[in-house]
Amino acid sequence: MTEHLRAALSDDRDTPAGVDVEAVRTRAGRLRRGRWAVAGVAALTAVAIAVPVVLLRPDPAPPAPSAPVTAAGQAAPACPDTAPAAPAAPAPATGPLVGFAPTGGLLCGYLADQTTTMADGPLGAVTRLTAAQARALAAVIDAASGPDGELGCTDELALPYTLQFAGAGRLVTLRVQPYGCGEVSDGSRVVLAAKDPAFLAVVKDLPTYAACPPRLNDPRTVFTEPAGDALLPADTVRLVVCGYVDGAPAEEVRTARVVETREARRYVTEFDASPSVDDLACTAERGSPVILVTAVTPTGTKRVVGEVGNCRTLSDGTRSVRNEALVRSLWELTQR
Amino acid sequence: MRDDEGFAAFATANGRRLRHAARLLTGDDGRAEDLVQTALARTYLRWDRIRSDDPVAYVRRVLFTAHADWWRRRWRLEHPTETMPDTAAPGDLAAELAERDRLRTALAALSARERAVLVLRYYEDLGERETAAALGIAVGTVKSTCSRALGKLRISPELVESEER
Repeated sequence: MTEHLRAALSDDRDTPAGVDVEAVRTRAGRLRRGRWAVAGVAALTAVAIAVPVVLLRPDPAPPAPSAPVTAAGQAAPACPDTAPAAPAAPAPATGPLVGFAPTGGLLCGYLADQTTTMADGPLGAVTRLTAAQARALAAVIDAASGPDGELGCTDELALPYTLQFAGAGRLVTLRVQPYGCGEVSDGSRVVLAAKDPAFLAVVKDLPTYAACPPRLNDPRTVFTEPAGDALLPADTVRLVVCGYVDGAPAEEVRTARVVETREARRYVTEFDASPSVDDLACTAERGSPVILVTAVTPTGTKRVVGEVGNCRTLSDGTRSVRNEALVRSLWELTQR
Repeated sequence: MRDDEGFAAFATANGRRLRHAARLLTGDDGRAEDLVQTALARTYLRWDRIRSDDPVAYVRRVLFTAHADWWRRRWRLEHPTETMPDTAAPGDLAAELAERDRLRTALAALSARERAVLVLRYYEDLGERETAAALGIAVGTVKSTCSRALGKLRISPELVESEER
């Protein structure tokens, strides 16, 4: 049977050869422009605050550092908006990459393209490291050695993330490649640390890249961050929006929609100004759409959930506001 | 600057194989063409990063993942397609082509994942581990899916009838 199958599958006599390479390049151009979509929200006549239509062109993001930042006296870590580039010709590190005992740090994950699982999108997941986590990771990295000879590792699953370590007035930013050889780099030097069991023990449950969760069965489970003083943080640089119906992904399966800085700040301002409601007074309809919105700042993230059907509210588990037009506009993003 | 010539050569050299795999996956010429274009376009966007690694494995993974995403978006049962278009040929060749087409019709009745696993295992000739990596699933899932798919083919009315001929 299997040889029969193999022969039948391999028979490509009726498969045309040739590829229209120009058409491929044109499509690539469209993919590049549309991938990280800016909110294009039509002005709604019934709404007092109109949000203008925005062309599919991303707001200029903060420039990513071409090399990791080490700044003496800089104590407050902040995630770079894109993952640092892999070093072109890294040298094995002969000294420690971190070199001090950090008091804290950040793990910065980036938006992953669902089709290829490459995380080359902008910042989408930020986790504050405790002092213990930061010290444990720094110890593993500083004890690790560089590659012995030329590296022959594949990073086909390129999901790099950034680690920042802070303490004693110092700040070190490192690029981590969790696949292939597990390289950790400061831009010019590299050690092989990211596959060390002690390293993995710290990061195994931390989000090293950002993507829409495969399901959203119980929205209450996403509220893991402190509620804070406002529904959405004032220093939000981006909103990542995922749509669901009855727990299952909406039309565009697991493809996050992104609202960039200018528009994101407008959403933040308008949601924070929207009237508060008592969530218990509204019963969500079965089958009504739900949006999971992650507000990303350089130092953290906050998740809120929007009910698009009956309630039309946005909630962080502690406070809820009602703004039908904005909630619906975010849902409509997920349908494009 | 992107290596456009290198990409064009790569696309030309691998286009037929990709298009054939896409036809086997989708059972539809139009969707197959769209799938190949999408896979090559995504590969082109990352060409400078992957060209010195294993671009064939990369574009294959993109093809199969894009197909899986397309299939999940549809949220409906797949319907077996009709026999793939083919031109009539005389004599033994006709019998051979008819046999091939019966097998492809039976293949079209499988689920998208079952088809993907069979195409990767028996057309792309990947091992179980490589197939699992290409589809982002566990090796055990590859084994069970393959076993189930072959079992379905063995009892497929298309193929049972052909054996009785």
